[in-house]
Amino acid sequence: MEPSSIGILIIVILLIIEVVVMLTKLKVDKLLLLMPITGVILAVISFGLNEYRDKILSSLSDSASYAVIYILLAAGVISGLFGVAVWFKGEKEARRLSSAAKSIDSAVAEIESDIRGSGMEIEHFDDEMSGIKKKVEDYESKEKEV
Amino acid sequence: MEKEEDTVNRIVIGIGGQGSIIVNNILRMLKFKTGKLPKNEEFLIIDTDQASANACSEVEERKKIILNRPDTILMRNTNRWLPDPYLSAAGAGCGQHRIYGRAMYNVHRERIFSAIGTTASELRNRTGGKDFFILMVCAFGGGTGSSMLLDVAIDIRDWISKQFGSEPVMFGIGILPSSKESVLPTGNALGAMKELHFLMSHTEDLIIDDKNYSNPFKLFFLLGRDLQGQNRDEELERAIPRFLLDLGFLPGGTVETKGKWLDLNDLQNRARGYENRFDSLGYYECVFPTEKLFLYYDIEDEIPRVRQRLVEIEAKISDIRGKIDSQRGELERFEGRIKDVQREIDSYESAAGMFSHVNTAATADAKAKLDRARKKLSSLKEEVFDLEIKASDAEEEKRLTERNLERLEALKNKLFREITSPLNTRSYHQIELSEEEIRSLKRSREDLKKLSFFEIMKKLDREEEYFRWTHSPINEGDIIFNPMVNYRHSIGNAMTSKYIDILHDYGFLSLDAQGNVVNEEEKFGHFIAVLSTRADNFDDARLGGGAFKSMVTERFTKDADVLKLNTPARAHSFAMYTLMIGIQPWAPGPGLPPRLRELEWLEHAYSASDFSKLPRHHSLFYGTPKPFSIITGIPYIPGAEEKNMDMVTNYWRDYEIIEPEAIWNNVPIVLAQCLKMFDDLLTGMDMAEDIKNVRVPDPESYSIANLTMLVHGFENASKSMEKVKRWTKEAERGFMVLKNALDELIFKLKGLEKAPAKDKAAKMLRMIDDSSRNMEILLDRIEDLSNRFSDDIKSVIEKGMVFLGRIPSEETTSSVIRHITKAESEISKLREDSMKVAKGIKEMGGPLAAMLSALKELKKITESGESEAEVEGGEERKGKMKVVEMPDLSLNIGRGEEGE
Repeated sequence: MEPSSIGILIIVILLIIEVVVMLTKLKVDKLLLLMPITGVILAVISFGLNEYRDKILSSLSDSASYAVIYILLAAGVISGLFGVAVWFKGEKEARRLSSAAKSIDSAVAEIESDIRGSGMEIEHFDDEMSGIKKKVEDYESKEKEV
Repeated sequence: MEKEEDTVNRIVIGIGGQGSIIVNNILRMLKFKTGKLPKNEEFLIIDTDQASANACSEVEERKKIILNRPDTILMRNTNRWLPDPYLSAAGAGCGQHRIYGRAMYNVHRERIFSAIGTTASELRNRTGGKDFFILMVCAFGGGTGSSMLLDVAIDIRDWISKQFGSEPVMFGIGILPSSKESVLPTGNALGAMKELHFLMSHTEDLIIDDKNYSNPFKLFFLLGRDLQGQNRDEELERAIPRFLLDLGFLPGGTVETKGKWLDLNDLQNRARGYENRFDSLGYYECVFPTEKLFLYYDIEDEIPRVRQRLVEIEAKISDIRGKIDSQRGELERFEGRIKDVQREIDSYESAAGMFSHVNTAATADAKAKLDRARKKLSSLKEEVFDLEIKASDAEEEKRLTERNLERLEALKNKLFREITSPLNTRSYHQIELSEEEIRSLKRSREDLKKLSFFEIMKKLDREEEYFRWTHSPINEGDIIFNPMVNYRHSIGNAMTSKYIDILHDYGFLSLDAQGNVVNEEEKFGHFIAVLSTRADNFDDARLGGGAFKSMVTERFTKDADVLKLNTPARAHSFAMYTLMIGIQPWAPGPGLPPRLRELEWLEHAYSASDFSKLPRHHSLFYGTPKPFSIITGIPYIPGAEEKNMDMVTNYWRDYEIIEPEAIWNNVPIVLAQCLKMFDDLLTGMDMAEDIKNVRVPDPESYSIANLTMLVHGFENASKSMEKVKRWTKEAERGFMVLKNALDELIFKLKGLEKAPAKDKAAKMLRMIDDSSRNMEILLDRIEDLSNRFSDDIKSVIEKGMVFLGRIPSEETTSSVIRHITKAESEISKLREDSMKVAKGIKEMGGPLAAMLSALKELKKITESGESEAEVEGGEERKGKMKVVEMPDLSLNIGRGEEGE
């Protein structure tokens, strides 16, 4: 096998890994997998053409056949990268939205604790003022006794 | 000397509204003083008013015997004797009808007994002791206490005696109504006193139908609600519990004392022989206002603290209000933000496809967070709303607290006033402090707690004042003061003092250096002054107990004691309790005020009820005519309920609170009144004689001066004639009253078995002889004067007419004519009045002659010492006499006025 085929094969393998990862780990939308799969297919075609160049592209000049092979390979790689890029973009947006929701949630929780704090403070004042009232009543009843 | 552990079982029973309140107060003080109730004491209340019983919060619920009004059928079935109008009662409880109270007692008797019996048995089991001390407290004016007291007392005494084999020692406390109360309670009080006195006068066992009608009480204290016209309820409510607690009657055996002490046995011994008389309590207290002062200091310190705190609270609430506003804005902002993010999530999610990636887990998480935030937000909105309300409430509360602060300020000012200018009465003196002293004592307030009353006063450089208010009342005898008891009738009025002089002349009483009456027979049994304070407040040298004792025994009482009680708990008070045992409540004689002041208005109110209304004031013996008949000797008709009831009512109406032997003491008083009236009569007759002594000038020596003199002479004679005319009317009425008094006295003496002492009888006979002799002289003089009075006046008038007729015509100027007209007018008046006066003088002879024969009868009774005869119509006289006061004939004819 030619070194170029090995290189293409590595690229294919990488693209397959990408597809598998996207499929299994990243649980992306099936449609988004079309891009890397297309990339894999293009890369596999490129590999196949490279391997069987003499038979399949014999009608083409060397340079033209290489051009076809590498163009297909480049298209495959681009498809794969595009899929990754779309994923990244989606993920980034998701993270942004998630953090926005989180920040709202925590801000609301903060307000909640503020309100609760104020409520408790008022209750404390009430208790304190009831204490004062009771004290006054105590003084008044003591005054009756003395 | 620490007393031994007390094993006497003590039961305190409050009957009726006021009795229950006092028991409640005793309990409160007891708990405050000792923190717990001694195991040998129980407190019960019996009341017919649920609300009043509920107010007694210190009394255990199971110790409250609340008697509900039964329906009329049950009432009728239990009390066949009860008249229809009294089958139900108006108002609360017994509606102040004693007869209704008795009927209620009959209905609930078993319940009352079961409760008291259970309590007594519990005590017996708890302490193992079989001796009981029972104290009963009630008001005499109400319907419940005054009606049930006697029956409960008799029944408990009998029950405990049978059950435990030992007769209980029973003391009673009865509160009499004030002079300002209405007829119903006031009349009730006399009704209750009559019945109590009736029982008290039976000292020997008197068992009829298994019930002992003898006196159940060893001592019965009467207390009044009147202090020199002021209501003294507060003082009473304070004094009674203090008396019982400080003197160690409750709780038993905790009093520390040195030397001789007044315990139950000692008190019983002193009361021996006086069980048939009433007793009274006096109370005087001098206090240093430490408690008020400490309270004042506490409040003074508290006010700025509270004020500062309120300012802080106000600021905080205002902060919170600001926060609430901003939080509300925040919440609104976040609401918008949630919507935005939600929209973004929605649009993010909607972008699914080949060229987009949606992280569903992240969006789900974000959505969940948003959801949670949204929910929180909506609940927070409510919370903010609530918080706003709470803040408003807190502001309102703060305003209320500010008002409380104002109250506290007012309380401080009130305390300040009470400390700087206390309202002192004759029985309560609080040391007055200046502003400067209040300030200076604050610096050493901690020391005050340790210092004694005396040491504080010394610190303030006011030792003399301390002794003046604490030791001098004993030294100078002021402690004897009791608003109820009037043993100083000699100072009543001028008329009374003349009686006193006459009685003194005949040796019935003597006067001490200050002019106070000293009369052995009028003295009450014992006077005990208990001084209660911390030991180091006493200065024996200044106390002068011995001098006080001799002064008191000389004038008021047969025996006296001053006892010192060391009560460390009352460091800054010097209390004096006075026990007067064996008081004679009745008036020392007709026309004199009763010794128990309250009797004056009680009798007045009682006599305001006619016979048909009298049953409301009575209770004892209604429905039980048999024992009544056996005791009194008045026969009854079995089954004739109405007649028997009338018979009992009749008996109570005529019953007098007096000991039969004491009636002999009335003899010298009535005779003294007779002698005084004779003096007055002589003075009046002298004045009548003087009228004829008008100086008529010689008709031959006319001058304007002589004419003027004649006119003035006639004017004075006319005035004197007018006075004599009025006096003859008064004198006749006075003699009638005196005659009735004599008749009534004779009637009472005829029923007596006991004769007066020989020397006393001799003095009385001397008085009767003098009175009879004076009367005979008077009768002669009346006869003589009435026969010649008109002629004497006529002769003077004629002489005057002659003088006027001989005035020369050339002298008749307008001024002379005026004088002549005036003289003629006076002559005409004199002529007219002289006839009336002569008639009046003559008419005085009638009652005087009747009195003379009464005196002879009195002499006969006094000589024999007793008599069997009955005087007809005596009862009618009795009714008449009670409301008539002796007129003072000397008021209008005093010698000082003769020159007018």
